[in-house]
Amino acid sequence: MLKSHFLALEDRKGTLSATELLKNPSALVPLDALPKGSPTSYYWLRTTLQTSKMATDPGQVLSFTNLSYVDVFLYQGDSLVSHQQTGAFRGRNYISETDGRLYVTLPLEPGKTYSLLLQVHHTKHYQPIFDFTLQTRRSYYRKVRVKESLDAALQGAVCIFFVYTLLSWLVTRYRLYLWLLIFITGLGLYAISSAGYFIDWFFPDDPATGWLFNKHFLDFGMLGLYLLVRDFWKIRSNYPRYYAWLKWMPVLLLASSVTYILIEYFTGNYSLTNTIQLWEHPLFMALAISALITCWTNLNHAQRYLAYGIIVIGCTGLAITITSLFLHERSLAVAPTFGAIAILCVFLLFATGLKEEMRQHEVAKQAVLKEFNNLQQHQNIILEKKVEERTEELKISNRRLQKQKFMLAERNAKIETLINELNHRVKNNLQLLYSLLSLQLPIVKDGVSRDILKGNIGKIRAMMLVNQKLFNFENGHNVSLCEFITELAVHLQKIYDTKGQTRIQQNIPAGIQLSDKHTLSFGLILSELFTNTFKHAFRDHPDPCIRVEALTLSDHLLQFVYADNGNCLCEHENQEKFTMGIPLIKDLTRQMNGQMTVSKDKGLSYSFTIPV
Amino acid sequence: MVRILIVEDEIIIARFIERQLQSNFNCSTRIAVSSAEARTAMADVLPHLLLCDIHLEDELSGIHLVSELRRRYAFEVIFITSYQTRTIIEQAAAANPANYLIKPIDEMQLFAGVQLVISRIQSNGQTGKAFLQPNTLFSDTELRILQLIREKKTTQEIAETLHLSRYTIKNHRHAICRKLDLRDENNALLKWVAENGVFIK
Repeated sequence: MLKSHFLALEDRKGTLSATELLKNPSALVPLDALPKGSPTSYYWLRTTLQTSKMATDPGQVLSFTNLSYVDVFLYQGDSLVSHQQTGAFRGRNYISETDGRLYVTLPLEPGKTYSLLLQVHHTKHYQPIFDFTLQTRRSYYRKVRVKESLDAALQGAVCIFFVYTLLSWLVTRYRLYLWLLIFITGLGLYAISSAGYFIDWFFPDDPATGWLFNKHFLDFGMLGLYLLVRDFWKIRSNYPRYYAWLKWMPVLLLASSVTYILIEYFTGNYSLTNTIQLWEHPLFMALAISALITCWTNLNHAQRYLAYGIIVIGCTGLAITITSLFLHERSLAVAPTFGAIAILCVFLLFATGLKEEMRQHEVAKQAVLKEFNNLQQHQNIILEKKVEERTEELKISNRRLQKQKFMLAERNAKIETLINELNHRVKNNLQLLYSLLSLQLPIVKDGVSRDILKGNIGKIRAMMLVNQKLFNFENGHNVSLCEFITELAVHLQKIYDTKGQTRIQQNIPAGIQLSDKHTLSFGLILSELFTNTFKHAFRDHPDPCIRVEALTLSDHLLQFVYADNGNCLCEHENQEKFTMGIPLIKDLTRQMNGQMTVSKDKGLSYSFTIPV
Repeated sequence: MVRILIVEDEIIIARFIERQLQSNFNCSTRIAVSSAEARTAMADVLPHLLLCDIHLEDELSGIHLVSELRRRYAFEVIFITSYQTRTIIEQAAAANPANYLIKPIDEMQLFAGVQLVISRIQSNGQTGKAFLQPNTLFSDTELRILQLIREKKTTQEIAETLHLSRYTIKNHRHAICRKLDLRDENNALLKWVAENGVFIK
């Protein structure tokens, strides 16, 4: 340690040069006696070095911590042996190959006396601490190597975890891994930056700029932690009132970051920002503690790992703060190591928590899937049961239907037999009547009785015809008027006009149909009309002719005209013979709900209007 | 003279029945070949006896027709039909006929079937009239009073039953007598009710 051997001078303006000081050694006072000056002044330190004659180690290294700019002048007598430039903020190109940012290798030869002059300029507004140490190169390198290997191990671990988290996030797309990634990136970079590697790697020529990033890495990491806590503990949905306060945390972090960067960039007053940061820490601690207290009772197994991690961070933060309070700038030497170890612990805790959470997710998912499967099976069983029941019902109803069908078929057959039987009886009976009367006809000699008998035979004939027409299943229950009249006329002509002298003129459209309801009445009317005509009108007539016409008046109305050219005088002569005929025709017309008019022209003409 | 309405859609059969009735009984007859004709004839003739076919216009409307007419007129019914299934006979029985004759039918069967009913008609005189309908001759209240008179209630009792004053009832009785052209005395109305009570529904 050289501290006690230094003579020192404060040079506020930085105008003095080394040669001037060498000529005027009385300006320097012992370092202990130097009054406390401005932290940003230039300080000159001088001491004398006596090398031993039997030096085994050729290299002597002058090392220090933290000082921004240091110029090392080595004189032997009055002559300048070397002028080396170094310092934490010194660009790489100013530093010679044998030197580092925090050390210089002095070109000392054994058995000589040197005068060592140091110009120190500390720009970070901390009170500069002149902890210069002179030691052999070997022992210095050994120390550096120990520190670097420790750092390398820790940073390597951080890197591995970083890659692990990155991959986890890419694979699972689980958002919490992204927050964890932010956290580890921020804190890892903070550790690297604090240990000075960040400057070495990225800003070797402008260390002051590189140093500006230091605190923001920490803030970035804290942002990651905040997001992690917020999402992992579901603060937004579970504690909305608490979240109303907590959501200002990123703003606070941003504001502090902006403040730091403005202060450091424009004034370089790192001491001030460090103080501010120190005062911020309790705030964050309070936030963390409040979050822990608020959420602890509701946290599950996985989420508590995060809580343990936060406690570790809190402890580490507290430790760093305390060291920082006591060691000021020198705490930078221990903080990175502390921090890195803490990060690793915390990361392990967080990663475990997240893994646990994912495992629980998986377990819950499996449980739900199993439940779902069970449900589906249950449903399937129910469905099958229903199908079975339904099938059974269908079978039963099918059987019933078959039975009914069978019964219906049986009944149908029975009905058909009955109808046939009935039809047969009716036809047979009509035939019997017809035959009976026909047989009796030759026996009856009395003219009047013969006429009556003939009339009845004609009516039975009409009935037989109606029966035959109506009970023809293929044609349905309607009878063609034209066909019906033709056939009836032929039959009646056979009975009365055996010589077949009478012409029968028919003018009936083929399409006119008679409903079954009216056919019999109509047949009886026709029979009566023909009977009357044949009996009375054509006695000794040269050209007997009967005219039958029909036309449809409307959809439901039919006009039917029956006329003969017979002797109309007969009507009066045979008045009493008409007594049965005309009223019967009138009655039957009434039964059909129709109208009838009789007129005399050449013969008699009957006109009927019948609803169809 | 007994008034008879023959409801039969085969007019020849109706004429046969008519001839038989006229030669065997002292009666006046009328023929209806459809339900519509029957309704008109009913109001014209107010028959004591209805001879009715069940099968009218291709359906079993004879029974419906009788049930419908029973609401307005007092008469006896004989169904003459070719139906002899149990269900149709049961349905017909619900219309409370005096007899049920199954076709084919001859003169003697017709005579025997109708004779019993006609003698009953001549003895009790409870047929051959339309029922008293509300709002034709009498108001609702007057009909109700007539019913109560038939139940042998005094004016005082009628007033209590109908929650009206005795004088109001008396006024109503006077009005009824005026409408019936009766002399304004208690016994005349009582006699009328005793004779015509069955026509009050």
